[in-house]
Amino acid sequence: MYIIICLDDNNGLAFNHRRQSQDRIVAEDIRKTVGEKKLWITDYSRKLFQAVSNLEISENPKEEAKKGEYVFQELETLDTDDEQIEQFIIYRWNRVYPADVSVEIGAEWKLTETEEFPGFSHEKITKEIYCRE
Amino acid sequence: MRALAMVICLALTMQFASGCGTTESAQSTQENATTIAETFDFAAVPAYDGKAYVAVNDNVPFFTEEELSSASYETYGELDPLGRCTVCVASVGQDLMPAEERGNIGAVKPTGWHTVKYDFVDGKYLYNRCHLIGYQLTGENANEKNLITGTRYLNIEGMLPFENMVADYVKETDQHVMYRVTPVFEGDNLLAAGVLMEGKSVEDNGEGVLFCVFAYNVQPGVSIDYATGESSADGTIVNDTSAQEETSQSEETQTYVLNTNTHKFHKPGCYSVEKIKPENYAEFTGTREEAIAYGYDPCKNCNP
Repeated sequence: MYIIICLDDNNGLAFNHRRQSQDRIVAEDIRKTVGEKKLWITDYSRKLFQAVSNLEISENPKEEAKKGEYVFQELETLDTDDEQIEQFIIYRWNRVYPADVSVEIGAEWKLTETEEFPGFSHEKITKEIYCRE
Repeated sequence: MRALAMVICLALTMQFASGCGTTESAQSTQENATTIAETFDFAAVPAYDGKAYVAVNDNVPFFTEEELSSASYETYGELDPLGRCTVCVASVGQDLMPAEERGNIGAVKPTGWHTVKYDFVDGKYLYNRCHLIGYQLTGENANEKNLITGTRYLNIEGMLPFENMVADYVKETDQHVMYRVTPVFEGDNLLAAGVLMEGKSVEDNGEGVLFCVFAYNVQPGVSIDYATGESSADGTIVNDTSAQEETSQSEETQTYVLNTNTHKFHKPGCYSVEKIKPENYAEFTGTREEAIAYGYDPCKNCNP
């Protein structure tokens, strides 16, 4: 599975059971990235992807996603050593938000692609793709 | 700090001098929101232990239902008899957000203000003029009712993350966030111990934004006398080569001449000023630090 997350400058992911931020341009980029494949989310994320038809809603997206499918993770940290994870797609907000949940990408992951683009409410979004070493 | 008798400047009944962006429908809500729940107990806030802010009341703000407004407004509490800020409240909507860059705020000297530098502090200056309601939310510039003396750490690590969160939400959803910031002063201290920050998205009843935190007015490596704002390095950060340096001209408000073409700034009497073409000539009143922050470099001849 491919894991998609959004992080702030301190690798923060969420605060008080809520996302740190959102950006409609990022949501649109995720839609394009996923293409025809399944995008697994929790019900919490549904509002962000109203235009996406191939959504799969689950309380445990990582448990249900199969190889080659995407999981958009918003509120919970994860074990980056999980062997089921094929790739990380990280959107960086390039700002700092409150955080009580964060994600640290382990050294076994190598940054393979970087792309920058303006967001709707963010001056610059950085999209990073990490693959296993 | 914890042992001191607590007198929180919560201004239970306040008068407001500014109602910018206020609609009539928001008026009654404003009046309700001028108080903060008496249940906030600063004595229960743990001492700073390395985190810039701490959740209060399980991150649930003290707003009552009547205080939540889906009409934008902003209010800034009157200064107390010691000249200290009290409480600032806003229902932040896109219509309050600024369309221009922030202006000069150097003329405001909040209580406890000292211009002092430490090499190990980000940006070197220990104190910032901290907007209680951040400029990016309501576009308020040099309003003395909205500016406290806050450490760089409070400003950047404690308050800015929450301002960013609120600003993004409002921009993305075009809805409102109820936002209240209350500086907490112990006794007659001129420097706030910190600020209580509350935020709740209105139209979705907190689904998008919900927080209630106390942000500490501390600076790692610096010991602060909250009665006066005096400070000294506490020795816990070893690369403090300058110790404490009171600055003079760099933080004084002055008028400079800008060359908008070369992006240099000059003293008004500098001989280079005469060579500036009229279309590139501009004047700026503020501090040297602010001129640099706006992207201008000091002239090497007159060294402003």
